[in-house]
Amino acid sequence: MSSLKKILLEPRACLVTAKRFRGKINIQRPRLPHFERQLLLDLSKPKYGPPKYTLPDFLLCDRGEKKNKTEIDNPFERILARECLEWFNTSKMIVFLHVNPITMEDKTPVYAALNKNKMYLRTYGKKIVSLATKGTRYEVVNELFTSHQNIIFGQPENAAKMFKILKKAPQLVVMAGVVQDRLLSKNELLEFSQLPTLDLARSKLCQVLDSAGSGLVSQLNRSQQILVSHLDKHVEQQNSSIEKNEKQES
Amino acid sequence: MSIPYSGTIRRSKGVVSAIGKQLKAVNLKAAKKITIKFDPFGENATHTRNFAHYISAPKIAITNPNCSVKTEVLCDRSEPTVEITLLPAIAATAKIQKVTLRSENLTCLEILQLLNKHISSLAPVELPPTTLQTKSDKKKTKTK
Repeated sequence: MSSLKKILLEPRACLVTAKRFRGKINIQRPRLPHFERQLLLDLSKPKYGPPKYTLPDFLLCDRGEKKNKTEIDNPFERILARECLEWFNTSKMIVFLHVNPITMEDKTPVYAALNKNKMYLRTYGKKIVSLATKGTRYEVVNELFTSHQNIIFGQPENAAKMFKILKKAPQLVVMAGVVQDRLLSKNELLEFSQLPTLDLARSKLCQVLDSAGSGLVSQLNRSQQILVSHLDKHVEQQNSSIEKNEKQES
Repeated sequence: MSIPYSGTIRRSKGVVSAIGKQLKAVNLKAAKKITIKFDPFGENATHTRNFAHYISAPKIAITNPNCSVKTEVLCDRSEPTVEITLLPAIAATAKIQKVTLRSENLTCLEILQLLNKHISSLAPVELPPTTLQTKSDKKKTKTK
């Protein structure tokens, strides 16, 4: 054991002296501190000046010098900005709303209804959005972020449903939107939502293209069709007259 | 030669408290409808948007539950406006039917001050409700 003690470092045993044992602490008659201790206490006392509201204006004047606010890099803000930019890039339809005061009681059903239709109502602040969109093609959007606003991320097919859902919350006001990398105003968004689906539009286009050829064909065949219809009528008349004669004879 | 003191005794606490003071004084009893129109891409829409946010608050709506506040978004870069339609009874007495504030060059505080000047001042004064006295209270007043 003694050989082990020689090899290993001996930890210093701390001196433990009991200060109090169940007794009352003395605060009524404290002992005067030692001179050096008192010196240190006096030196370390905080010094407060007079309150600012009692001072005259000339002492409070900062001569127009603005303190340069050093922008501290906040990693959480960077993470949020990255998330915001991902939302911007992955959703083909982005709608910006102006928000008037609304209780969560009123907002939650709107949020739920939008979620059911694969649209996501999110709130990002001015700083986060400016961090996210700086240097990207969405930079123009920063102009909208001057008051209180929310963003809806979704797909363009659900634009009409979105307007229908937002009718129930008049506190959420549509300002503008970005659909397939194109900035649209409110009226343009409304028009876009009222457009027919792409398949319908394609079928209409096919119809229009077909109509030219089918019109020409019908025009070419018109005279023959008229002749055929006249002949049919003539045959019918003749048949009816023959039947009448036969009836009269019988 | 000392110049005698002139000015406020108390310092103002800033724009935000001034706005708060104006909001406390807002009374929409004379208004039938308030329409706030702004273009979000316009240069000076911020103050109008902030005004719309403050005036749509439930505390201010309580002053007149029948007054509807509508926010409209314009797309033609026209200037932001605040239109207040008065109740017909008050319009008849005050000979004003509509108050339009062109808020392109007005701050939020100024819009609120004008609103208080033109609308809150027209609000009908409410008489305090007559309280019923209990028998014991009447006896006490008699003995006094």
